Order: sequence, then structure tokens, then C-alpha cells
Amino acid sequence: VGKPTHARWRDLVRTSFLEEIVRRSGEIDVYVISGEEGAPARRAVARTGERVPWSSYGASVAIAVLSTGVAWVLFGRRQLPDVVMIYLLGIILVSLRFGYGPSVCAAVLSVLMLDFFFVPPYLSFAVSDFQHVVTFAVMFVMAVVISRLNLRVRLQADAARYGERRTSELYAMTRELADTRATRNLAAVAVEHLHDVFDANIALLLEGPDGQLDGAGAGEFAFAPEGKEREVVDWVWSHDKPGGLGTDTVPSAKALYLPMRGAQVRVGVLGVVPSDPRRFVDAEQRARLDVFAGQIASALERARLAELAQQAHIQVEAERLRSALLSSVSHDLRTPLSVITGAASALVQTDGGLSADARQYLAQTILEESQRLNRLVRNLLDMTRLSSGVVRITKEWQPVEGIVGAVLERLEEPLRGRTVETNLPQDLPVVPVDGVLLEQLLTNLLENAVKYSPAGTPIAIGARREGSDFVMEIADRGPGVPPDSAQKVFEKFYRAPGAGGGGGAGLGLAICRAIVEAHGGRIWVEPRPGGGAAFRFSIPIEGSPPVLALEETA
Amino acid sequence: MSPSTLLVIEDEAQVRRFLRSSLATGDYKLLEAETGERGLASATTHHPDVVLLDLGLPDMDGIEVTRRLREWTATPIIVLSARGQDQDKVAALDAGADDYLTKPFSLPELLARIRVATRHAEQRGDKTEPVFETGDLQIDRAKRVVTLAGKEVRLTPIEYKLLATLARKPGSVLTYQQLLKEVWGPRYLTQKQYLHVYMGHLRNKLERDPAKPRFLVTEPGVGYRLKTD
Repeated sequence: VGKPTHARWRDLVRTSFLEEIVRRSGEIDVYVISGEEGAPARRAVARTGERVPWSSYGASVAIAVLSTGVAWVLFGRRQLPDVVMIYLLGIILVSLRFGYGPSVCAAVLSVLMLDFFFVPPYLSFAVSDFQHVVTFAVMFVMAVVISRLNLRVRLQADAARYGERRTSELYAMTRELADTRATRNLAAVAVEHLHDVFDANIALLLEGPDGQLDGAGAGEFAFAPEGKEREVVDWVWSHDKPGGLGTDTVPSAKALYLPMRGAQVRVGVLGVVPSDPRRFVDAEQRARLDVFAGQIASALERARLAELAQQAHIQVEAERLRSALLSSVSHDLRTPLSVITGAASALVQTDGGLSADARQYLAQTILEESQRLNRLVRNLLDMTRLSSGVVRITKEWQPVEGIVGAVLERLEEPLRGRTVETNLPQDLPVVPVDGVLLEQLLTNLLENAVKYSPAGTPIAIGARREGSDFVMEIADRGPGVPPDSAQKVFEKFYRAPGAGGGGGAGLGLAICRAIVEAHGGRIWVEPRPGGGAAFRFSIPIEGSPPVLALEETA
Repeated sequence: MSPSTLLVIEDEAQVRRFLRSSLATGDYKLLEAETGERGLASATTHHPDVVLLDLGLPDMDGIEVTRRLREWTATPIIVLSARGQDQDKVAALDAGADDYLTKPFSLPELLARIRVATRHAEQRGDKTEPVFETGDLQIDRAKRVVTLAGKEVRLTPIEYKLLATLARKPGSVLTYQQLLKEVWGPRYLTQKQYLHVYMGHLRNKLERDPAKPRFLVTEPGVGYRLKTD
């Protein structure tokens, strides 16, 4: 039991807590432990004005003397009421400028000087006429009343200013918390604001996915509770009650620990080590800390719920992909595999029995099917990586001609026997794109065109600027896309009815859409004038290309 | 000419077997190593003409192998990478590898890369070859003059420097970092956009159809290559 630190007289009025315990303890031994003897609790933030400096009293004396001088020069000893007015004026000035104490001091001095210099018998404090005593009393009461009124006005202004500051500090933090997304950033914001407002070092421990508390705040104002402090944290967490400094539980701890509760769940524990250990003895400061803790807790809870929702979404998506992948594996991957197995085993087992033409044909089949398999696996991989967020987009301003060139070179084999008409104007702008993703996008669109149009038919690639958009088009002379499936073709695992033969996993165009959307653009398909399908995508040209230092022509 | 020695550092037996059966035709002598350590040891003893280096080795990453080889030898290194290893691939190229091939690759592709690599190694002996020629493009390094089909092409100093840098290793890919460092200087390593834009200028001056380049090939995400025939 802690030794009481309040004044003894209070025990006379109320039974002390200690006495109560000792009386009721019966058989149990009670040990009284003395805490550190400290200065009596004082409000951490002075609100009734700071301690008045001695110079203010000096000034009040000076003003009283000055009032005497002015009254003497102006009125002499004849007009006593006017002299009183001069003194009152002086007192009002003092109370406006220097506060309550000095103005009372000025009032006392003024009454004394009035008596001494202006009331007969002169140069003596004796009073001959009782009427003058009344004058003194009235003057003194007026002076005190005026001072009190001034004091109250000042206190109200202080309180208003203080309240305003509190509100704006809370508002500043709430607004920054609202603008912050990830839990770790939220923790940093919270630590910074708490430090600024409460002049304290902060520990923020959040419940991790494993149910354990982990330190989250970092930076120069963060501290990590260890050893005994950590035990207090665990106590606070398991009992859901405040503990540590200034509470009934382990008041000798360095920090005050508060459980942080959101609207639905607890999110963690907040530890505060104020530079003045007595700061939170003030109930007002404690209440304020609770308000801040509450705001931080609900921001953290919001962030956590958002993260959970995001994870759930990714999981659902991954699950869908996995099941679709299974059905793909069972069908799409098996077809090329069985063809390869068949052709290769024919080559191995009928050694010598096959004509050179037949051998060549089988080898060619193996090559084509393995390329198809490769395409399939590549698309599955790309889709998984794109939808799991592993791929990060890095836009760079660049001309697209080079990327078109790279794609055409890479697809030389499947494009053999077709004319590819490229229609890229000379003044095509540089575009902010991710080069690797754009290559993948164009590759998929071209492979798609090759797959769905008869061998030997031409393919056209066009690009132009349309307002603030960069638009590209890959057009074929195939059967086109029926209007009712113009949207569906970009969905995962969708396959055009009757596409059969060249079958992929139905991912190529879904990948295209993911890439275009990652660039903030859109993709669609239109019937091509004269027959065929025209796949178009637009990417916004945002910002302006980097300015290059001009170079003189050699 | 004696057969070139190829060192294959690759942990997967099937890939080694494929390389063995298709490369050991008399033109090439094949050495095999299944770990990075053994590969490094074999390189020290046998001094291969070309190293084929897989990026997914069990004991150390390909970037480390490249770095350690480059400490003492200029032997051409061709990196074999799988899809999804793009960053490692670029890192290996920056560390000094000469070229890369993405798995799965075909034999003709591989042979073409090996030929380009060995050609460089031979040229390194007499570097002073003043005139470089590919197709109807001619770069006269002594006079700093570029001609296309016999007609002079006027290039800015940076354009010329860019082209000349690419022509130092014709056929091989040069990474963004290598080009930026060489042409603009080490302070500009992050300014890829400079490179893209100047490459566009150069292409407009040298290519008839920039979308079907005959000389300047883009390797998205990696760098640029000067194509040779």
C-alpha cells in the first residue's frame, strides 16, 4: 500500500484510505510503502495566469506614486473627489496591465497615500472626519471590484484561447490521421502529435496478427517499454485498464499506459512518458490524453479494418484464380502436353521407322505445342503477378516506336506470312508508360490478333494523340467481336464461343485490361470498318515530359 | 580454328543435357558446373571462351557469380534468366554480364548470342578498328562521322556518343545504367528519360521506319541493343 501524501488534517475530516485498509485487513499484514516525496501537485499548465513577477508590484507602486503626483499638481488638496478619481484610474490601469495581485497592492497604497497627503490632518495616517473613512472604504471596494472583474475577463479570454488551442491541436491530428492510410504511418503521425501536445515520449504498441503486442511507433520521440515497463503494458492490455505512472497500478513506472479502444475492438496500448512526471495528475490533462488516445485508436481501427478487407479481397481473388487455374490445368495445359508427349514418344520409339518428313513434322508439332504451353504459363504467371500486386508500375516518358519495334521483333515467328502495317506519325508524343508492361500489352494484343484472324491476313498497328490521351490500336481482318461480348472478352477466363482450337486460358485480354488500368487508361474493342476487330486502348498523358537541356547540333 | 570452350553454370540437369546434346557438335567444347562455386573454380582452371550463367543457382545468385568472374576475367558472360527474374537480370548485366536470354529459348537464339559474344571477345584484342559497319550504316570513329547508305547523317554530340557507345558492343544489350553512365556521366544514372528521348531522336535520323528498326533495338526494361546482321 502506498503511503498517503496528502495533508494530515484531511484525515481528521475523512477516514483515510490507509486507515480503512488497516482496519478491515483482519489477519492480513499490511505494508506501507512510501513513494518518492515530490513537490505537491501543481497544475501542469498554469491557467490563472503565470506567477506574477515582482516587477509588476514595483510598477503598481510606481503608478500609485505617479497618481499621487498627478493629483497633487492638478487638484491640490481642495478637490478630494477628483483626487480619488485619479487614484482609481491608476488602479484600473494596473489591474488591466499587471493583474489582480498588483492592482490590490495599488489599491492599498492609493488609500494610504490619499490619507497621508490629501486628508487632514495632512502628512499623517490619522483620520479626523469619519466621512473620509467611508471615502476610503468605497474607494478600496471599487478598486477591488474593478480588479476582480478584469481578472475574470482575463481568465475567460485565457480559457477561450486555451480551449481553442486544444481543439485545434486535436483537429490537426485527426485531420492528419484521416489522410494517412497504412498502420505504420498512422503510428508515426500519432507519436509525433502526442509528443508535440503533451511534451512526452510515446510508446505505441499494437496488436499484431498473432495477437501479440508489437511496438509500432518509431522515430526520435518513441520509446520501447522493456522489462518492468513491459509487464505494466501486458497488465494494461490484459485488464483493459490504465496503469503505470499516476494510476493505482505500479505508479512507479516511467510511463502512463492506456488501453486503446476503437469502436469495436481494442487495438493496443499507448504509453506516455511526460517530461514532467506530474503532468497527468491534472484531471484535465488526463481527460485530454484520453480524447487523443480515443481518436488514435479509432483511426488505427479503421486502418486495420481496411487492411483486413483488402486482404480478404486479395484472398477471394486468389481463390478464384486458383480454382480457375485448376480448371485450366486440367484442360488447357493438358492438351499441348498430350500432343508433345505423343509426338516425342513417336520419335523415340519408332526410331528408323519414320520417314524424314514424318520426323520433321513431329518435331515441328512439339515445338509449336511447347510454344503454346509457354504462352499459357506466361499468361497465368503474369495474371497472378498483376493481380497480387507484385508488379509495380514505373512510368517513364518515352517514345513508343521502340517498344513497338521490340514487340514486332519478338513476334517475328508467329507474324510470319502477314503484313504488319504500322501507322505511327512522326510527331508522336513521348508518353508516360511502363515500358515492360506496354511491351506485354502489345504482345498480348498482337498474339490475340494472330490467333483470331486467318493466317496471311494483314494486321495494322496505329497510334495517335487524341486531346490529352494517347490512343493505340491493333486491328485485324478476322471475324470481329460480336457486340454482346465486347465487354466480356476482357474478363478473366472468358473465351470466345467457337474459338476452340487455338485455345489459351482466356487471360491474354484480361492482362491487357489490368495493364491499361494500371496506367489509368481504358481498353475496348470496336468493329473495324471493312471487317475485323479493332482493339483500342487510351492512356492519359498527364504532366509534362522532362525538359532536356538543349543541345546544339554538331 | 579450335572449338570454342563454353562453360555452362546451371543447376538443372535437363537444361545441361539439352545444351550438351545440341552444342557439342564439334564447334563447341562444353564444360558443366551445377553450382556457382564449381563454376567459378572451373572458370579459373579452364579459361572458357564464353560463360552461360543461370540466374537461379542454389548456392549463390548469378549477380554474385558475375561480380566474382569480373574481378579477374573479361570472358563474355551470357545470363540465362526465367520470367520474373527481370531485376536480377538487369543487375547481372550492370555487374558486367554481356547479354541475356530468357528461358525458354531456342537453339538458334542461343547460337546467335554466343556468336555475338565471341566476336566481341576477338575484337577486344585490336580495339583500334576505326570504322564500324553494319548494313548500310557506317560509323567512322576516327573522324566522328556517321553515314547511312553513303550519305552523312548529322548527329549532335550526345547522339553520336550514344551511337558510338552502342557500337562498341554491337549485337549485345547495353543497360540503361551503362549507357547513362557512359554518355551523360555517373550523376545521371536515374535519368532514363534522357536516354529514351535521345534514342527516339537517333532512331528518327537513322531508321526508315522507327517501328521496324534495322539498327537500334529497344529491350524494354533492360536497355538498348545495336543490331548486327
